[in-house]
Amino acid sequence: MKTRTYLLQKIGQVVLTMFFILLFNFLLFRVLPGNPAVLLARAAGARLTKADQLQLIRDLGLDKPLIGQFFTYIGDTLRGNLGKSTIVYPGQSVTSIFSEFLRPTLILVGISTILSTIFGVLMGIHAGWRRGSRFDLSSMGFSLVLYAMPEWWLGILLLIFFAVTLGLFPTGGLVSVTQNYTGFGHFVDLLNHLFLPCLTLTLAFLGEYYLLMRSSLLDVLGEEYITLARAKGLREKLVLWRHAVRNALLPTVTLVALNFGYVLAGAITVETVYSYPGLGKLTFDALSAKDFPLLQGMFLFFSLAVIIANLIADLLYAYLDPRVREA
Amino acid sequence: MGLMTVGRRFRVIAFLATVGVIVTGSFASGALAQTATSSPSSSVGRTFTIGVLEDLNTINPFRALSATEYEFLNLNYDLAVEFSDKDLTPTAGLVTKWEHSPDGLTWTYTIRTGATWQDGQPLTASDVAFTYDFIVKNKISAFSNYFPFTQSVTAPNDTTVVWKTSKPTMAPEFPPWVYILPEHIWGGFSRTEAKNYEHIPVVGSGPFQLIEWKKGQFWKFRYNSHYWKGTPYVHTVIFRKFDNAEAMVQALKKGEIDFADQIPADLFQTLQSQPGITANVPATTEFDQMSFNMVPNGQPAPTCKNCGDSTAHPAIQDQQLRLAIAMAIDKQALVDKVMRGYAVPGTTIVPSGFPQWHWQPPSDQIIPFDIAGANQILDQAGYMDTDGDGIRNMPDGGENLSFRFSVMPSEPQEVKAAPFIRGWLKQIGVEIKPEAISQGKLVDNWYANDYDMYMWGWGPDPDPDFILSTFTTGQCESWSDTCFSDPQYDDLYQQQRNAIDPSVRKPIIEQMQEIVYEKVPEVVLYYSGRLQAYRSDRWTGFVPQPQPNGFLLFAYGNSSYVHLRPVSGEVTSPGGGVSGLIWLGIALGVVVVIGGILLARRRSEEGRA
Repeated sequence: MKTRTYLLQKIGQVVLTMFFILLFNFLLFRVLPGNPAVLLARAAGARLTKADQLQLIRDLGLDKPLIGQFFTYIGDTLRGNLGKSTIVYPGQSVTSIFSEFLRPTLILVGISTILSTIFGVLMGIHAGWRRGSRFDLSSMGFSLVLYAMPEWWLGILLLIFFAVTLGLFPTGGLVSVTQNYTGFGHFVDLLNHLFLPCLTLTLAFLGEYYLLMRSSLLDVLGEEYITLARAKGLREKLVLWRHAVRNALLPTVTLVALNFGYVLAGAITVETVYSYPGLGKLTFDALSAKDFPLLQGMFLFFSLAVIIANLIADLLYAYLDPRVREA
Repeated sequence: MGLMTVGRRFRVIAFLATVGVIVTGSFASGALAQTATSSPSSSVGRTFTIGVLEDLNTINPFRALSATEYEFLNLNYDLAVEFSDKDLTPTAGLVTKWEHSPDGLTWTYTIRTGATWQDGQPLTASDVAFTYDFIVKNKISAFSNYFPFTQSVTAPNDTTVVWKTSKPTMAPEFPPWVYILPEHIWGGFSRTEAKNYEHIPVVGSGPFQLIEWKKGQFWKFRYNSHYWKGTPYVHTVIFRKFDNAEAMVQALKKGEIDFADQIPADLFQTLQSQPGITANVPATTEFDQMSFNMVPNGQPAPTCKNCGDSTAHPAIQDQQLRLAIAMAIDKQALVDKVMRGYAVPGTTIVPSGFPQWHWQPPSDQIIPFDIAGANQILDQAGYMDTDGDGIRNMPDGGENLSFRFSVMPSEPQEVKAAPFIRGWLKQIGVEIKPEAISQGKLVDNWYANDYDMYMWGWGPDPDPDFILSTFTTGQCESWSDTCFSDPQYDDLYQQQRNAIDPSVRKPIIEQMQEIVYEKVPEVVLYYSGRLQAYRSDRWTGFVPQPQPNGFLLFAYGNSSYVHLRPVSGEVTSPGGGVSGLIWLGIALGVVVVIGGILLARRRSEEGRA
């Protein structure tokens, strides 16, 4: 019963947040500087006549009152119609562009999230458990450097080292442009192109997960139930894995789930460094070109991703920690 | 029970490992086979890859705007009259001969025989006439300026095009920068259909044909074996789009690409000493300028019905003030510090890269860099610092000489230049407030007439007609930088348009440059060009346009693409990554490690619990 109330409450919050995001998203693009018709005119080869510009404004519905535009926007969005790209992919629907760019990003972000979580958490556990050891000190320094380093800079360094100095991996793109691989060769080609962006993102997030896992493990290790577990005569390994890690994982799980929403958008810098055609690069292109419908769609999508990731984090938390749903 | 579990678990792992080895084996043989088939074949050796930062946004000739789009047109189509490699003067292309009637009202083009479209159809005079006529009839605004006073363009037979005008003009020889389209494909289109037609493979008459276009990633061309200038050596040209200039330069160093275009000055510098790479410092056919709002405060722009009333600082109307500002700018310092030496100080609105049209002010007319002189001019004009805040005031003791100054972050050199300019102007008691704004915002401010000064740039056509037109009063509505309006200038512009004798036209064009230079509606800061570099250890045969050091690619024609040759034997590209075997090794290693850990944990737990 209580679980259900908790669930309903969370979903209610999500719906409300969505509404405000729609409102904000709508208003944001109307207060932005730059007359859309003029921008489009420049993009379409400038020298658009006044009549053409007015027609454009009518076509885009920008001549209607703001409130009318808002309801049209809500209605269209609910029907899954996010409009059509104006400059980056002229005439193509925003949703179809998304579905094309989503996959590379999901693969990139998915793999690097898994890897950074596994390595970050394992390193965090090891360091927290052997606090003050040589491993703890060195991994701490390593993680702090990674955490503080801007992703794009790390990306450029890795690119110069792995792609140019060692000559092992390509400098960017999704596939080789000079070769037409098929079958397994194509798969390997994809992997080769995925390696550096994936390594960069993994390293960029590793530090954060490591630091969080380490500190929350240290917190937990000071709890009385750990002392009790030891007093029961449990072996150290069991104390660590069954009692300490399990509880210490809670904040990390939340962070990973939360991050996933941000990372979809946060891969922008990495995708730009490696010219990797994912959502991040699409955002970059849409921003540079001021493709308003596309941008509006992307903002909505990213907000949605963050909200859903939040919801999942909440639900996971409730599942992992009974105190949350009982409270 | 415990032992049973261990046993079953172990069997599962053993089974997985076996499957893994089998799969690995089969993949590995596949990978080896793949390696064998993809070893450099003739097609790889004849592939030329170009790194670009600008995307290909459209393959429609009527919508093309950026240099990348024009380069696509340049490869896939031909101009009627071309720009010569040597000095960009008009030269034979599809048109082998052009002449005009004594009254200058009728021009006749003689069309080359034997040229074909890429789909095998013959290219005739009617294709040329169709293309020009389509633009004139449909008033395609981006190109109609190339067809002044035009009444008709017709093809009386397969090798003749007749172009009739109501007033004498040199326009057919400028020539129109319009690519010739196949009538058998475009013939039935309405204006709207033509503006939206995008179909691959693109049928043109050029040396290469676009066959694949992955927007934002790459686009590929196949060679045209029947090209009328000769079959290109290169069989495949690939443009690879980079989102990051640093990565593009690294890809050139590594050899993934053969050519890099539009390299930022500081990265370009690092390539100068790189073995195997030649960095081309190009002819200076482009410029960046600082423009003033020439519309008097509170008044509407002369010909722009939709523009707002000017909010320009009243002092900007004073030519002496603009002159003082121009004198206070150290153009050489901008060249050295902002452009890293890859530019030359600018003077008039026709860049020095077009020596046949550029007017170089003689020493007694040149506006020097002279802070003291600038201060003297302002003193004499009555701008004194009456309130003692270090900034001069209007002669009546009113407003400070404090101006808004916009630059665009999308043009990094502008952002770099702004603090220098502010520093120099401070020394003459003029304050500018630099503000970095988007291009959209700048265009909006421009239409609203709500600005004092801004920085932007031009890459003019080889013929000066277009860049000169931007300073006519009528252009205030569209291409004008400053809404400069000068009756004498407007009159001269029409005169040069009607002049059919180049020796008559040239002095007029020089006089027009002189007027703009003297009245200072804008300050041309420096002339520059696209910084390009290529793998000279692999490729040779580039034809710079203009010679000797013009653009190698992204120029005004396609000669480089037709003449590219490997330096010796065959060009081989480095592999794009590690082989499939290594990946399989890694995958196998991961499986073994995870399996091992699971097994060890299970054993220790089962064993000790």
